[in-house]
Amino acid sequence: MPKWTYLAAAFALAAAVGAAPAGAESRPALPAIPLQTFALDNGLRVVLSEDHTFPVVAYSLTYGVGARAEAPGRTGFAHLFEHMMYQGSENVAKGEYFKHVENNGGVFNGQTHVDYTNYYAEIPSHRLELALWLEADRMRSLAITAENLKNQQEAVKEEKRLRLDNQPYAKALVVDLYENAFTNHANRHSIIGSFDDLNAAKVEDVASFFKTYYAPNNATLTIVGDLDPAGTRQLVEKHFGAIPRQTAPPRLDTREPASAAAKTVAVKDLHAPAPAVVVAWRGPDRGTKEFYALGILEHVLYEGTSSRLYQGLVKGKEVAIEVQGGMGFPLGSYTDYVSPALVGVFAIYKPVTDAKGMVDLIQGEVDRIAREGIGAEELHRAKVQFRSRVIRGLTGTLERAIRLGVHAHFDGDAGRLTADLARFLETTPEDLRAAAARHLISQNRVVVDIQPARSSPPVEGAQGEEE
Amino acid sequence: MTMAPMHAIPGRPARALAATALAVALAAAAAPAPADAAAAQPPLGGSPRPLKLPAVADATLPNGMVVRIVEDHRFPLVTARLAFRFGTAADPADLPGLAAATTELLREGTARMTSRQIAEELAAIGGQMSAEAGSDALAVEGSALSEFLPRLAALLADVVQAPTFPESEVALRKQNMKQELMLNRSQPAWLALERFSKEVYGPHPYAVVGATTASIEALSREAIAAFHKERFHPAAAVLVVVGDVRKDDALGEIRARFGGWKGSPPARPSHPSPPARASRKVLLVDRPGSVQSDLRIGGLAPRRADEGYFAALVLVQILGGGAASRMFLTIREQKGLAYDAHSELSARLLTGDWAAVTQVRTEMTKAALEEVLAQMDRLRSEKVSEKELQDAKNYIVGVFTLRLERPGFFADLLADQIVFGLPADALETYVSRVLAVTPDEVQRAAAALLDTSRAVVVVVGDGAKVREAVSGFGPVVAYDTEGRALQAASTAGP
Repeated sequence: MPKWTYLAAAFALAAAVGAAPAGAESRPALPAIPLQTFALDNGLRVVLSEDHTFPVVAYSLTYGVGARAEAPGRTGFAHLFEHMMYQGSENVAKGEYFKHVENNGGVFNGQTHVDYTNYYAEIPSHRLELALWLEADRMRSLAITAENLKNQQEAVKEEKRLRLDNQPYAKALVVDLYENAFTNHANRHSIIGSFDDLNAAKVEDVASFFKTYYAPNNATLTIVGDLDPAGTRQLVEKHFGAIPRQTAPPRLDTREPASAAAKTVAVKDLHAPAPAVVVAWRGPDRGTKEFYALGILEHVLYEGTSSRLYQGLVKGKEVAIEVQGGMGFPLGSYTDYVSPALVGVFAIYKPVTDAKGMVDLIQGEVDRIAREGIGAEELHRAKVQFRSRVIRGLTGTLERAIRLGVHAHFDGDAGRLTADLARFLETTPEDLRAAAARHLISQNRVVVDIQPARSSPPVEGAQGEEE
Repeated sequence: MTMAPMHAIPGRPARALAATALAVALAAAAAPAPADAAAAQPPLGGSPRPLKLPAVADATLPNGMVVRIVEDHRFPLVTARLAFRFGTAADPADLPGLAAATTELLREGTARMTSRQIAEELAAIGGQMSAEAGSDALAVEGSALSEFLPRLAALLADVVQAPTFPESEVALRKQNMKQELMLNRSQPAWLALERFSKEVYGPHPYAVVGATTASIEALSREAIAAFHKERFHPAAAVLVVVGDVRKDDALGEIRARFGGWKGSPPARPSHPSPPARASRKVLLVDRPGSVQSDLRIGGLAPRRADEGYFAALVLVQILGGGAASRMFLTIREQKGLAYDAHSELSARLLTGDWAAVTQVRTEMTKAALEEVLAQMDRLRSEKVSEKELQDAKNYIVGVFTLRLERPGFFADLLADQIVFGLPADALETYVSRVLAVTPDEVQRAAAALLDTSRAVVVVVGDGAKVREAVSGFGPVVAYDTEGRALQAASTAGP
């Protein structure tokens, strides 16, 4: 890994909204975000961004490991490991991380994605060193014990019951969809994993995962807010500098056959009150021409009330109760994965049609774009929405730290956030048409047909009317 | 249903710490105890940096509309929250859902624009518009790129002043309300909230959490248009604007768009009181096939404007307000019973409620109930330490500060200050009032709120499997997921 040089740069961007018919303006698409980037000798990459508006500071520590790194028989492990990171380290007893952060007025969390896991907090700015000390202590000396593992296996199993097993549609979206859309184990298993695999996790697995992946040279630290760059750099060096580098983790093979076989699977859902359908296509790799085109196309197809699927199916034909979609569906967004991901649409529908009818309507809207493209005004609206969405996602200091961290980690440059926005806003009607024609086609599609397992709630034994 | 990624701890409800004020300076924190004697000490040097309060420019238009503007120039966005000082509690008893349906339908057509044109205009300004129906306030919140402030103001003015409620849109909304109700009834957390609210509030309007099949059927365009005509008036409105705007420009836009609007709503009717409670009662919502039991245990709490609000806020924080709280550390971290174990306070205009909430696997229902009740009892019998109290206060004050930088949250706070009728200095005094709460006040609040012998206990789970486990906690009344009372035999059967 090349050692990064200290770089102070404000990435001001001059890309105005493309082809603006109304209110054409010369102001930048995104306000300048000050960035300072450096790396420690042990390989930890660091990005600082000053903002003194409020006396708060946020950090995100992004590790280059997610659920895709899990071996067969160990599904759910990356997320289980994320829970273990809160179980204590050499100088921080079990449960004390929570107390240190919250009792000092901060908030925190961790997230496991398919391609990364991050740990983040936002805290009053005079407590920045406390936050760095806590984060460094667990990177250096996580307390890996059988008791902690057992306890978190139970917490994670309750999380699975709560968020998957006891909810309508959830299992179809995060388990059935992926198992059928992909063939490579790395891509096809769910982040939450199976009870059997969670139960099988051993203390040795935790130790080896920690050594392999939770090393400074496999991580990026972004710090945003009320900070002094020179002083913050010293603090980072003081707390993280002595943590040893590890052998680089093995490169993950996430390759898939060129195209997914067209496939439809039917599932019964005990908790679903109404039928629903998931339509998903293999999406483009991060940073490709199609990636940018489909990012804009999201606003044409399913983002917001002006989108074609909302206007066509919820309004218009009035067959859908709700329609949602996303790149990286259903967890995270376009920016959260490397490859390969799904572009997915999920619709809960009324019993006036069936799964095939819904799939045909959804594919029909997509095919129309692949055939006819879209007009200049609709494209302009989609770009304004896209720019607005990116800006909204940056207003919170914590959200900015997370977003910059993902770009710094995947793209090797936090400034790619700004550069990428320009790429999205440069796309042409033909780019969108071609991307839809290449990716969003039935030969590259998996459908999950979700039917309620029970037709209607039992009435027998009831007395009186609904209260 | 796009799902959030897997998190270490459950996401908090955005308004769980709803409070209406600004922190002046962060409280100095007491150092947590070190892990052991040999461990390194956490670095806790430095002192809090002063928080510069965002300036709020207040104005009242001649028609009575309250306007509050905050300049925030960090990003080219503007958020405008238009709240009306009446909510779902104003629904006629036979038409729950009327206020919510009316608010939703504001965006579905006006004298000037169709529903689709509104959607496209919003997209063209990088905008979003949401409708919210709370028990004490209805609100429409719009946001857009700040260069489009005039178009956002025009849209907001149009939807609240001249909605037409087209027949076709009303019919579609009714259809979708039925589907939404069905979806709600598939969610255990919603079922728990529904049953809890009915039991805690009885005849009080806060008992109602949404429309019923019958009330959706009875909703008509006429009723909706009449409700709008009677209620949506500038004298009841609060408009908060936060964002990259100059306050004079914003006020000019607001005067131009809202200055000519006229009217006042009728006075608020009086409401029956929630019932007094002499003993503990268990409400079991039978959800066959449920793999978990959703528990919701609680009762009444102070109003937001009450003297006792701050002690209740700190008490509920200590019980289950965060990952350092007693419920989280015992139920989840020590016993591994749950992923989520928290408590929440909903202090509203007329009264309030609090609840301890957790979801556990079916066979642990009894153990979890016992643990929640034990934690409630402990707060009544033992005074909290100064250290634990200070930690809880630090969290409340710190999180409050973190929320200020998010325009939507800040707009929410500023509107709530008016909706809840808080004094003009509520912003300046908030932090000092949190910090002034004493251990004795917390214990007195615990005595009033956390009486386990009179708590409302709601369990949503598989009735056949949990009925026996919950019967030891008090007389059990069972319901099905449609909200109908069940005869005892029907859930005890095979």
